[in-house]
Amino acid sequence: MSETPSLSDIQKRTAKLLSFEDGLVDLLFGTTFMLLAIYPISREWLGPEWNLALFVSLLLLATGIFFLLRRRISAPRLGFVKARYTPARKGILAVTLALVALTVGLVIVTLVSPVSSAGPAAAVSLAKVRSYTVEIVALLVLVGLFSAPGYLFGVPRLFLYGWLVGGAYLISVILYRGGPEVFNLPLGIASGVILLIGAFLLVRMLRRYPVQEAEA
Amino acid sequence: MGKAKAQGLRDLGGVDRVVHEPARLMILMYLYGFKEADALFLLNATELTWGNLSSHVSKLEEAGYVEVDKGFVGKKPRTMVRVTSAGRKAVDDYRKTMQAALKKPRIG
Repeated sequence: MSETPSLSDIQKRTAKLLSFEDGLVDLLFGTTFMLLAIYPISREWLGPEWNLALFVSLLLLATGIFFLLRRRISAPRLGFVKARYTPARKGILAVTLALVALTVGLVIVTLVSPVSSAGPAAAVSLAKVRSYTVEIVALLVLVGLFSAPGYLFGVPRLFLYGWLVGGAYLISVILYRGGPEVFNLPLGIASGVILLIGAFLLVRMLRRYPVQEAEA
Repeated sequence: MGKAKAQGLRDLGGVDRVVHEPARLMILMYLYGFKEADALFLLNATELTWGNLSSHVSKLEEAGYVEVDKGFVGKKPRTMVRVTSAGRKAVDDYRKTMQAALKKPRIG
């Protein structure tokens, strides 16, 4: 207890302990990106509409499992905190929710956009005339989206995730644009790494924080 | 030494001893930013033992700085702890006193 407690440091440590210590967020991220990596293959089999329905259903299922595991596995080990919503915090929460909704909306629009389902020929002709400015901007946005919470909550691995996912996106555009619909290997590798880290953190949390029988 | 600085140091004598103890200060600081937290969270966050945590929470409760609710989630007991407005004021006062007393001199 030699350190001086500061409120911002304490809130960082709390968020880190309750949100990132169990690796469940990592597993959810990894699952989401793995679903996106498989997306082109399943679209070949199911068609764009049914594939989107399957993607959204699996995403909702994964999110449901995430909350269930957090309640059943993490909470009895790590504890429980009820947030205090000051007006400033409510504002931050509203902006965050709006950004998440916007991101999910953009992903869905991208997945069902005519360019992505227009077929290889159209994409090849597009690839020949365009630069990668948009993809580089997308990479930087992805890095920023992961790095911001990484910095705010003091979780360095989120920086890595930003570069992994952003880099995988850029590489997959270079590799696959105009080609046949195949498994997105760079995104598959990136999500595999995230899933492995998540699994490691979950096992570590289970070992480090056993369920407490006695209480104060 | 300026008058303000000397006054800041004299104020240290009147600092709230309940808050001043490091473990209790840490518990109060953890509770300060939240509506309430359970004892298990405080145990993990502060790395105190159950015995120490229990004794410090009791002292804070006696001073009126925290409220403790013992309940159950399913069949398991859960102790929720929340900081009172008196507790928040005590932390604010403590912070002001310490900041005034430990302010760095401009010269020397």
